[in-house]
Amino acid sequence: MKFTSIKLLDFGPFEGTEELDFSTSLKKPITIVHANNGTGKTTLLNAFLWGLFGVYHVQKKEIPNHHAVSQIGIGDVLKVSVELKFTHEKRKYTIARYGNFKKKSDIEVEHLNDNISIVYIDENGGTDSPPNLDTFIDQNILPEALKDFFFFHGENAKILTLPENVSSAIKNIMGITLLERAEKHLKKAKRYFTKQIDLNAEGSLKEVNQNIESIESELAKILTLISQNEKLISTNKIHKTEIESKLLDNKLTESLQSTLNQHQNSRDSLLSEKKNFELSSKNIISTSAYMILISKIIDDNIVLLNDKRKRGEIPGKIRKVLINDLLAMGECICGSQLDEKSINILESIRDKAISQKFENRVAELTNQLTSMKERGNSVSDNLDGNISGLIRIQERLDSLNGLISDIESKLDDKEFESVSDLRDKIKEIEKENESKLVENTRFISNSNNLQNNELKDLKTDREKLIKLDNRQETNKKREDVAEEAMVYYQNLLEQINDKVRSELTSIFSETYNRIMVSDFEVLINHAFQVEIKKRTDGRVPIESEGQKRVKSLSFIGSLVSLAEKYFSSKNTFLKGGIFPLVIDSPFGELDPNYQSMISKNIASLADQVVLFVSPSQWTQSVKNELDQFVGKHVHLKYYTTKSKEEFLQNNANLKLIGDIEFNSLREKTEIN
Amino acid sequence: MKSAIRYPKEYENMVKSVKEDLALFNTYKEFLSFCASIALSNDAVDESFEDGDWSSQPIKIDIFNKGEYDRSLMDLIALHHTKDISILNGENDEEIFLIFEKYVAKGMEIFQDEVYTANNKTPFEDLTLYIDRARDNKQSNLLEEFTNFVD
Amino acid sequence: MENEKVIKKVVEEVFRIERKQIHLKSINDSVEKTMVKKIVDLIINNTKS
Repeated sequence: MKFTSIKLLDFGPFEGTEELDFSTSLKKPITIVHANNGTGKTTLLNAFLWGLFGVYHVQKKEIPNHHAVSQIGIGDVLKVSVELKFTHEKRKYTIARYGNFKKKSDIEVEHLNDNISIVYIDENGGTDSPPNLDTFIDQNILPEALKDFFFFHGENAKILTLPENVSSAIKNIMGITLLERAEKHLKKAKRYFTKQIDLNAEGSLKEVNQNIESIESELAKILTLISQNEKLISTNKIHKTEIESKLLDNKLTESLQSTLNQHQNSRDSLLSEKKNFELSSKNIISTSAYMILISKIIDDNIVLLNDKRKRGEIPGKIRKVLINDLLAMGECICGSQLDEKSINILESIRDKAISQKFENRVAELTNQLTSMKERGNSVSDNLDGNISGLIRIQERLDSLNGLISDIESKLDDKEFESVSDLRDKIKEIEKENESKLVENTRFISNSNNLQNNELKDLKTDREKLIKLDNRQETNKKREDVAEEAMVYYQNLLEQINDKVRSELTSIFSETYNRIMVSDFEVLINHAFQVEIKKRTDGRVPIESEGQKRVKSLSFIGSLVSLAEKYFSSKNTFLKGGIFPLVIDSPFGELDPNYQSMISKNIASLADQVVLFVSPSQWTQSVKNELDQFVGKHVHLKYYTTKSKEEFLQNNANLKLIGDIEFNSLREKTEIN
Repeated sequence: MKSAIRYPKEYENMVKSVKEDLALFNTYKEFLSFCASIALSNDAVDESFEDGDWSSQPIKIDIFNKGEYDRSLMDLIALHHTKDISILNGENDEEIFLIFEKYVAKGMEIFQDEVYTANNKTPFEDLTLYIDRARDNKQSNLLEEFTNFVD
Repeated sequence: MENEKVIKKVVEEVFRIERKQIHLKSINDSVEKTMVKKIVDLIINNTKS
């Protein structure tokens, strides 16, 4: 299956008709849809699922476009649709799903119904439509049970590797369901013939049949118990290995913890050293630091004042007191009498002459300024010492803080439990496994007993009794045929399960180790659990978010790959198929390391890959890795009624914004 | 006769915080002197503050009188501002105080912008660094003076 | 032997019967009954004495 285009009509934030074409090139299989968070990515993902399967992952009332609804009257019906064009097995399909929504009020819509139309053009150019529209896609294009493997949000990917999902995926993709049903139905057919024999049985045969039936039902119960125990034992084993890894880590943890304590002590003593520095210089800074700020001005004014002294302005050569005396005496220093002119001159000089107080003040100021200058210099020296000391301390603090936070995050990861707790847990597990094994041994021996002794005897009796009755022979034959056919399917199923599991394991392992650039031993066990172990020491690594993401993406990629392999080999029993991947936020919540690893490999996971990325995920390094595989870039342009400031207020973490138009008339999304 | 040095109401919280919470200055008076010096060193003054909203907790001039250099600082500022030595003749003390207030107000504005709001997680460091930066400017001028002297 | 051929035939026919209904996501009781009956008839037809 390969998508060519998707067309939306009044779907979610997409107003009117919006269309998107996908890259179908093999060399450049990736289509990137650039969109900010909250502008329609999830709705677009849902459009695929709704179009194909009528599935709603958002609330139904969110499906009809708000503006379109506002344009119709109350009681009117709005038709919403998604049209998907794709190629599949040499046919070109156009699928359109229509949803009818009735407007009940200005804010309420009611979903009436959906209907679907499927049309295809086959390799000869003829147009046709398949008979069973409702189930056609699930049966012939993409199993609905697998939709979550091919259309998903990156951050939810990890649930895909839960055992039930793994086993169901394998069954669905490989068409094994058919075989399971065959086995089940043949069993029922056999029971029919057994019943026939019973019905016609008389006396002893009837009795024998009843006994056989009761033993067989007991056997079935025992088998179920045995298998439950086996599952538990296997899960416990995995759990135990995880705990053993933790234990090993714990020895490391203990030493990490003690290093941490050392660092914290050093940090505390540095902080107190810093405080001392502060205390010792606080006083001097408070009283005198300002002298440093104005030292130039102090210098200038010292010069100024000295200048004035040089010029005789201070202290004045002529004193006010003297002049007053002269005026009082009416006599000049030289002894001549003061006339009006001289008196005027003297008075003006007197006014300019400075008083004693003034002179003292100026002199004091000059002294003080000189003093301040000296004080300023010594504060400056003290400041030097202070600053270099603080810088030194801060550098050491910074590096210590770095070390401390490294260790703390390592310890957090490990969910620190005491060594003895962990050892207790292991003992518990071992004990439980031991008891389950013992139980199983008992069960198995019981079942063997029943089978080999009682049942065998009963069956021999039965054969004898049947032989005595000719009429039963035919029914017996038929019973046998049903049994043989059933066993055939049972064996076939077991072989296929093993084969698929082993092939899947091998592709999964290769993909996982390629992305992680590692050499883990990866296997999907009988219980369909994914086990990842280090080859060197068999330890189970404790998974980070990034590793979980890689695990799920690798698994999906391997499914796609395997499906394609079986499809091309046209195996009778194993359907396979070619499937695309549509992923919303493949790199969300991952550190750059994992982003890089995944982007390097994502193009190889399927023949067609559609990725929705927000601007913050489309980093330069992701771009560099992917660009060569991208056949098409699409941009979702978002119109918001908010202003840029308002928008950023609610999206404080939005460091990068893609295509957004602010202060628009109404909210909508366009595809460019 | 003026009895206290006023400062703008808008800086009331900062003044309190600088002394009480952050403990950058031992007394209010010292902080005011520091702010006035900031303004002086930047040759910046706010003439318009006559009609402004003053804080209800001005600092008594008596306190400045008791300081070792505080009155000299005021004189210096007044001298620098008026460029007229007669400001010191004893009859203009009122004006000296008024001039000082203007420098205090401007200095507080600068302090708020460049030191106080910078990063209150490390207030003492911020203050130290501010002084350090201011000092470097002066040093380059010192050099000029040397070279001028040599010439 | 004769038996083997019969079993092989039954196996193939059952496959075809199942394939026809494989589009059903799940099989309810009545559909299952029909299918099992078909298989029973198939076996009867191939084991006439």
